Amino acid sequence: MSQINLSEVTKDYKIRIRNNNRSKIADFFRPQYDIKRAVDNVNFSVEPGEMVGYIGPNGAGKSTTIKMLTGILTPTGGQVSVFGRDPCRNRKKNALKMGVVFGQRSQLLWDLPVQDTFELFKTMYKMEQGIFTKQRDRLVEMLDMSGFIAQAVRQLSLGQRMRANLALCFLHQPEVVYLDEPTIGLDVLVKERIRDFLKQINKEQGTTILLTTHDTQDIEQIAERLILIDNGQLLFDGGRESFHKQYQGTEFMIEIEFVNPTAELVHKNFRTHKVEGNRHSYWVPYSKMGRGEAISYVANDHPVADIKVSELGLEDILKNIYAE
Amino acid sequence: MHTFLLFCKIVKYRFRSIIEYPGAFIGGLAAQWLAYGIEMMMLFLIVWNFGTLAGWVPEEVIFLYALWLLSYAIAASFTFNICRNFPQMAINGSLDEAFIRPMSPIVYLIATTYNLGYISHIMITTAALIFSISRLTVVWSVLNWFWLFLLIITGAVIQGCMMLICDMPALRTRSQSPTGMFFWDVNWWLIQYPISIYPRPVQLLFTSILPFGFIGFYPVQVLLGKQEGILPEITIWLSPVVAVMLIFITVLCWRGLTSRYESAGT
Repeated sequence: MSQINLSEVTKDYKIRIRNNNRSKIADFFRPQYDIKRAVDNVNFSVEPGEMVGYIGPNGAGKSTTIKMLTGILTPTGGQVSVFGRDPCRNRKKNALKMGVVFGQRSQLLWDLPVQDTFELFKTMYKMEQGIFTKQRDRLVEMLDMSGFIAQAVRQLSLGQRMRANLALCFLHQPEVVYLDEPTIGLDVLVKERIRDFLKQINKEQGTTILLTTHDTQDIEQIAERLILIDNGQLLFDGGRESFHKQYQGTEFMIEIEFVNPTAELVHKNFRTHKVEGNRHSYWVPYSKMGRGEAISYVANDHPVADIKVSELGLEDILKNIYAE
Repeated sequence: MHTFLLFCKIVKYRFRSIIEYPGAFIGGLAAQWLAYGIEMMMLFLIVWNFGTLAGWVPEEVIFLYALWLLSYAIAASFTFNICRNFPQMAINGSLDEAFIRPMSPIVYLIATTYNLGYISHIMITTAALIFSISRLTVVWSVLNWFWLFLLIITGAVIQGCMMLICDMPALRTRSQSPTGMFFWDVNWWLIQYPISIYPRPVQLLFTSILPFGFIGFYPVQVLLGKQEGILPEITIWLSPVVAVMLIFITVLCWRGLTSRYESAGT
């Protein structure tokens, strides 16, 4: 049975229309509203232990979906089910089995040491002392928090606070974790540590992770499955590999540095991109020629100093999709 | 039981957070002592010069005032900050946090916004209460002590619930609720006196739609052996019932007003 299930889910917001042609007095007494559909007929389900990247441009409906899954928002239409229950009607029950991180919103007690928030969460999530101590020590080690666990939260850096928030989110060993841009504003080292941590905890505890992010490295390294949403509509749901296949385009680029200046190559499958002295680049259709075949063709006939095959990266693919 | 323990633990950490800034805390206490000490002295002098206030002698008026302020201080310790924060909660989506905890969101918010500053009110009113009790001609039986304790608790519940009910519309309006402002003004300027000094329509208002009379005026009469007001004698015993009713109304208002909560972008 799926842990998370969304069936024909929609969420509408009432947005005030500000019409410059209308008098301010009329606008004050009879404001006009429009309905904006933030999530439009979205269907997907997530199985236990999956790591899902929930991606899309700003305003696509990602956070709204997560808020419906956590029970913060009530859907306008359709059905949301988490652990087989309606999250809005079963907030307390579901909260015991889930963890959430909303970007840079901290869950920590600002003026007190990090360890005090851990203690509070122990009581809040009804954890036994033994399990609590073991899990806390493990998280402290995994996220390298021993240097600041006894420090007041207000004295921590953003990266330290984010690590502490993540640890807190996983403290009660939740079955499902929603991470809404957990690496926003962090430096590369902290990002790397967080990615490693998420992969490890998913592997060891089988935690289901639904991650929204704009960092393509997060997606590449963490998510096995991608769900793409734009304008509230689901555009793609599948494995990372099939996402690449579907969106990477029909051609790859082969870039060659010849040992000597060489004339433009003439081949029915090569479309010239650039020829500058001994540096050439060509577009090659996937359907006509494999990457290996193209490399062999080039290297067999000419002395080659360097050769490189480029495909669209996830960032390029997303840029193209968002721009459409 | 778990909710109660959790509530106490959250308040304990809130307490520790506040005393992280001892200068601000002690300065606040001193300022409140001074302000309320002067206010109480002024009230005592006014009543002393008048002789009685609608038949209430100065000790009785001070007793009523001290009970009102004590129950207000207990209530406001838990509700003042949350009431002030309602508009921001709706605007910046900080209410989200309360909905993802394994406990009642309103209980979570009340605990996490606990205001230790009201301890100064509690200290000064306790002193005024002891002073007035020592001068009242009341026979302090076990039942009377129990009633006094009960009326402090019910008074706090009534005031706390009324504050929440009046300020909660801010979750929709996203600015300080006019009903909230009305409550604070009425509670602050009119309720510290026996409501029998006001015309009958006002007394009726304070006994029905705005049940301020049940904070102190009616239940105190049980102790003072009085029977005043515009309703039958049983009214003086009704404070606990009013408190329970207000808890239900508060929960209904909370559910109604948060059912269409829209959060904010993250």
